Amino acid sequence: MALKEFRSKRTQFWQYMNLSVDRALRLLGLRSTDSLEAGLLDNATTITKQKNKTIEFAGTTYDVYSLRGFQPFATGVFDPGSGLYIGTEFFGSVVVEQGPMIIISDRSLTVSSDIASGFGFEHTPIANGASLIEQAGTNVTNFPLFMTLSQDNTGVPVEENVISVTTIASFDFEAEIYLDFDFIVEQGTEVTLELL
Amino acid sequence: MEEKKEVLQVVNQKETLVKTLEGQAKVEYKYAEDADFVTVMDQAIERGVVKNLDGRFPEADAGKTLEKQKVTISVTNNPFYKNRQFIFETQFKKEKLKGEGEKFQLIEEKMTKEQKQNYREFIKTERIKNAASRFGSK
Repeated sequence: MALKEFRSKRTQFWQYMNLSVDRALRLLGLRSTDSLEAGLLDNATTITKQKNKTIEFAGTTYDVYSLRGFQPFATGVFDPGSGLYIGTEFFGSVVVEQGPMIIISDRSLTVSSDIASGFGFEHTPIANGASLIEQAGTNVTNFPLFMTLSQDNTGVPVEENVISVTTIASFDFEAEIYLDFDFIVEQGTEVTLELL
Repeated sequence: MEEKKEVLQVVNQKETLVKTLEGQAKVEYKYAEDADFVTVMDQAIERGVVKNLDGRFPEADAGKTLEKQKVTISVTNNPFYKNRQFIFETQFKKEKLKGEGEKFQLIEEKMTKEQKQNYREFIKTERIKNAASRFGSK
């Protein structure tokens, strides 16, 4: 009985310690969970403010944010006019209340199956003709003509930045897209992610 | 070099400077002696403000009576501001003309969810069109 009680207390103690450590790490910004949400048109995306991090440049202080977006099955649509396959994937709109949104680093990847060629899954940056995407249904990769991350605020209020990835290829394609980039905004500016 | 002072501040509905705004600010005067407005200032908006060397609107022509002042803000990077023109209709007061740092408030039309969805579709269509011109027919 004493042993059983000891085990129970020990379990409770560890649960308490784990919760406390978790809370402390999260408060310090050393542990976080990014929950990605999707809209009807937008892929699963989230933005996170980088705690305790600012950048000063030319007399202005900026806050640093990260954006993550997942689309595990990006495809293209055949355009008879050009004979090309074109696909645009949307990752929400970043609404910055005041000042610009400037992307300062990009770790985004596209992942595609090259199993039939014996190279497993290819991981390449989203870098135009240098990215590798799968020729649909073949498990063989090839290079697109164009694959890029776009930030667009020409047709929406100036505070909004529509984020998308467009791929143009001469063949029918499939690709996974994982966005992960940092952007800066003027310090204290309200930043929200709008998903449609 | 002397720092330029503000003539106008271009603000949003919350009276916050719209620093991301790009465009042109034009000031015109209508004299009692003339039939039409004449342009007295036309310059770019820099981070939400219109500046000149002394931070004031230009002086009226000597010997003429100023009747009206018209300020037109032409925004080039945002299609959703609807009031882009102010006309001071009443008999002009000189101190108003020389006002420093006056606020020109732009009212932004709210874009509906449907309009935003349509914009996503527009982007897709444009990129398909641009693909053809960029990479040619295959």
